[in-house]
Amino acid sequence: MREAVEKRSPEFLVCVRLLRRLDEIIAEGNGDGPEADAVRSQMEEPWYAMTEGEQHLLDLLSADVCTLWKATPLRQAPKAEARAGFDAALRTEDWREVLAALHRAPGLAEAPQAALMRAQAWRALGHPDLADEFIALARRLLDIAPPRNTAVRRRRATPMDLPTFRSAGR
Amino acid sequence: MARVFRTMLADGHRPRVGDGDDMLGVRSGIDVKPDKAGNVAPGKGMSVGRAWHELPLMKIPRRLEDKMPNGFPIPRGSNEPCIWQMGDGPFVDGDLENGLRLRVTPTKPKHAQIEPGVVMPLVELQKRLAGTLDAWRLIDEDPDCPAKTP
Repeated sequence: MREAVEKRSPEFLVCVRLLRRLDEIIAEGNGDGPEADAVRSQMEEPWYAMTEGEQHLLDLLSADVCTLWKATPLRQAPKAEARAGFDAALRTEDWREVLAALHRAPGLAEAPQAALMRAQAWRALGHPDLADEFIALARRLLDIAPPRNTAVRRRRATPMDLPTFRSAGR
Repeated sequence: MARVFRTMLADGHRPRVGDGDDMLGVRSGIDVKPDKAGNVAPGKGMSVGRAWHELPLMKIPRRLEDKMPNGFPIPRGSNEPCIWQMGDGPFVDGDLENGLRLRVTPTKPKHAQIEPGVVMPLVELQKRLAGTLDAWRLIDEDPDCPAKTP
């Protein structure tokens, strides 16, 4: 399923902006303070005005942006079923499912590879700014990646190129 | 009665009753829009969800991040309120006690409103919502909820 770039509603874009602002406030240690509550209140009306599809996308985004500053959880080898579903989502370019699968089973990809996949997904979903943040994350992770991570490091040869993932098994 | 979930502040071991954010009640002008006579009609009411982890991400306390069954969303809610549940039945339209009614949002099956069954004064709706106080209980997944501390 190749997903055409969808036009997002104004409410979605407002929620993204407010979410990023809320993250700044939480990072300052004021997540339970009045400013954070005010941002949450501002998010309510646009949240309920969005379609379920956009709400789901914002749910994914809320988890993806956390990987920009925080290590992902301990990785367990994914079950064969999860791997097969993930590969199918990559093959069909079902980017929402790719993003969801990376959170359901973080062991599907190493951190730099996951960052690149997220970059590709968000670019395909029409959010190039967010994609650029994941490219930058991938670069940072590759700089500290162990030497054995050759599959991902090889792709650094042309750093501005965005690798295209067809199968996580490659 | 349908099982529903809602984020609410606690007063002791019960939800806080009131007309503010995260309380057992509706916010006039936001959740309901009374007419000139102060009456509210079916169609608008107090928001509830189908599952605690399907509530809006800014309504799920951040302390529950590690409990999210799919790894997303990552909650951004305040850690002050708790998530409460009421009822055990399927999440479908139907009459509740106290002359209230559950109406699932047609295009959003994860969301519903507890609304007045008939036109009634806003104060009456608030009274009937407050009347459900003893039916709410805390979800099991949140042992650190302030309402569970002695």
